[in-house]
Formats: sequence, C-alpha cells, structure tokens
Amino acid sequence: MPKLFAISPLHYPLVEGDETVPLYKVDIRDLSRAFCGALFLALPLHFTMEMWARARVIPPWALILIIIACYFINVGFAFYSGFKGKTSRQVPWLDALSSMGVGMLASTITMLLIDQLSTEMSAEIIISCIALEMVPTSFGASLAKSQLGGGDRKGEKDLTEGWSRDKTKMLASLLGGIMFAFNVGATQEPIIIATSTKSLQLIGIMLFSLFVSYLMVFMTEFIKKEDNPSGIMGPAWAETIICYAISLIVSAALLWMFGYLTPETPITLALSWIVVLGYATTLGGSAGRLVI
Amino acid sequence: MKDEQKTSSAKDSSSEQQPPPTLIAWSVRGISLLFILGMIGFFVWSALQPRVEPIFDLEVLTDKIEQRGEQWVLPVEVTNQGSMSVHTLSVEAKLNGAEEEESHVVPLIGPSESLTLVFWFDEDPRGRQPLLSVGSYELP
Repeated sequence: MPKLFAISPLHYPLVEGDETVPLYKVDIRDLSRAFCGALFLALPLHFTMEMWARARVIPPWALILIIIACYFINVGFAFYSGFKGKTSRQVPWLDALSSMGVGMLASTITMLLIDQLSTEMSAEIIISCIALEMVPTSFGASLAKSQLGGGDRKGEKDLTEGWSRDKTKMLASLLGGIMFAFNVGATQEPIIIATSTKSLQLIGIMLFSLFVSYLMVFMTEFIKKEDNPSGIMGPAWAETIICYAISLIVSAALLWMFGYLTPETPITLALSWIVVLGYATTLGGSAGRLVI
Repeated sequence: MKDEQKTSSAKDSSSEQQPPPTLIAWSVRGISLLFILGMIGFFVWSALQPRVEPIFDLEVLTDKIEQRGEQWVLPVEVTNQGSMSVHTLSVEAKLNGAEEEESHVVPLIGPSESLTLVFWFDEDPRGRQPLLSVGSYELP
C-alpha cells in the first residue's frame, strides 16, 4: 500500500532513450498527450446535436451509472493503450481517473467555445452536458498512445500478460465496439434506419455483420494466425459468434445510455434498433480484436 | 509456475508505477477524483429531488420590444421550472384585442432551462397586453 502512494521529486531524472528528462516534464508531456487524444477522438461528438440534446433527457441516476461504467471502460483502455510513454509508468486503475479528469477539462473548454455551455443554463444541464461529453473525451485520453502514436515500447512489459485468450478477445471486442460505435450511437440515424428496415433486411444486417467480422479477423490476415488457439473461443466460428453477441450487448448498452432504449420500448422495436447499431459495434469489435 | 510468475509480474506492473508519480500526476488524479465524486454526488442529490411536472414561466422582456423595419419584435423569456425536459414545446403569443396570433415551437427545453423566443407582430405590442400561453409539449 505505501508503494502505491509514493511520490517522486519533480526533478527526478528519467532516462528515455539517449537522454535524461526531469520527471515533471514527462508528466506534463503525458498529460498533453491525453488532452490531445481526448479532443481528437471526441471531436465528432462535440459537434453532434444529439449529444447536447441527450444530456437534457438522460435522468440523473442513469448518468451516475454512465460515469461508473466510463471509469471501468477507461481502465480497460488503459491496460491496452494509455497516454504514458512507457508501460512501467502505467497504473490503469489510477490512470483512468486522470483520463476522466482530462476528458472533463477538454469537453468543458470545447463546449464553452462552441456556445453549448453558457450562464443561461441551469447547473443541472451544465453538469449533465459535461458528464456526457466527458465519456468520449476520456476514452480519447486513455487511447492517446494508440491513436496518435508515441512512446517507446521496445522491451516494455505488456500489462495484459498472463490474461487468457478468451478474456483478451472478449475485452477487445467490447472496448473496440464501444469506441467505434460511440460516435454513431448518439445520433438518431440508427433509430430512423431501424424504423424503416424490414425483417429481411434486419436478417441481412445480422448475417452481413457476422460475415464481415469473420472476414476482418480471419481472412484478411492483418495479424498472424494462431496455431491451435485455445479456450472457449478457440474455433473461428465460436469467436465470431460470441463476439457478435458481445457487440449486440454493447449496442443495447449504448442505446440505453443515450436514452433511446427504455423499459417501455416495444421488444420488436428494441431488437431492430440493437441489430442496426450492432452492425457498427461489430465492426468496431472486430477492429478491436485486430488492434488490441 | 512460470504462468503464475507472469501473472504476478503483470499484476505488479498494473498496480505500481516506476518511478512513482510526481506531485503533478497525483494532483491530477486527486482533482479528477474530486470532480468525479462531486458529479456523482450532484446526480444523487438530483435523483432524490421530488419530480416536478413541467411548469413554464413566460416573461415578456419589455425593455427589448422594438420596431424593426415595419414590424415589431416581442422577445419572451421561457423558463421550464419543472424537473423534466420536454420536446416540441409550443408557445403562443397574441396581442390583446387584436386578431394577430403567433406561435413558436421549441424542439427541446431542459429542466430549469431558460431561452428567449422572439415573436413578430404588425402592431406595437407595448400598447396592448400580450397574451402568452403554452400550446402543447411532448414528454420524453
């Protein structure tokens, strides 16, 4: 426990490659990366009207759950990416807090500059807007390293070393699906699309989602094929189906988060919304399994 | 044994930072945690407040009534004093004794949110008592 709360002096010399840098400069650099990553990923959502509107509609208890989920998702992202140059300096459970703080600052500044936060609004709306916009900005901060590059990974420890193949694949599918489909999930377009699609088209979307997922992960050979993959998701068909199921759960979660899906939503409508957005979460989940 | 050592090593790496963070990093973590907990605390308080059905305060901004071209502008401040957002709020304005009636539709107004609507009339509204009313709205 004492080691967890240890503090280094600001001018502690850190060796990076051929040079020695004071630790405080490294911290500032890492936070700058987090800030830039936050703005980069969340820019489309800052400029999305539905996000501004959703903040006024989502009830307070739902926002509490969203903040808590945001923390754990950021922990997941921090295990794989983070905003620090070296994994030896990463502590995902604490870095996620920093990502959320940086995300909060980035979204507040942006929303003020684009006049989506003003003194004419009530405190409730201001805090709700910041809370909701903090979610994608914090993701961007946690993914800064993988988004924008940087950091010398040679010889660095893998924080996910020792994780089972199933755990890694499931988490990658979950996190990739969230990251990719977040931009789309906030908008009304998936709802409008689902309203106009017929049953055959929905079945087609499901089959096409499965096909593209399999194609992306197993046919394109973006990554080296594993010899005798183990676990529940060993066979390619099992991994594809299980990850598609995870993608549908992510889709439902995003629709609920943005206030579209409620207990009063008819099941037929809900399923069509989930399948339509599930196309985006499946693509994201597949990409996540390749990148992560 | 090797797998256990690897798992243990990975766990150590994920809970300890080498070298330990500076005051800058700890400050960022602490302030972030403070704001997050503050936010959650605010939403808990907000969730515990009694539900107030939408009530709208419609106030004419008398000092901002002016003539523009050949018409007159009547600004009205609308405040949602309820605890719920409403969609497609319709606000109607009519001048007392005149036939002219105008309406505005607000796509979305949140709880305790205020916004200004501007109605245009052919006659000077200052001479007549504007009559304002809420036409309809949709609950989320």
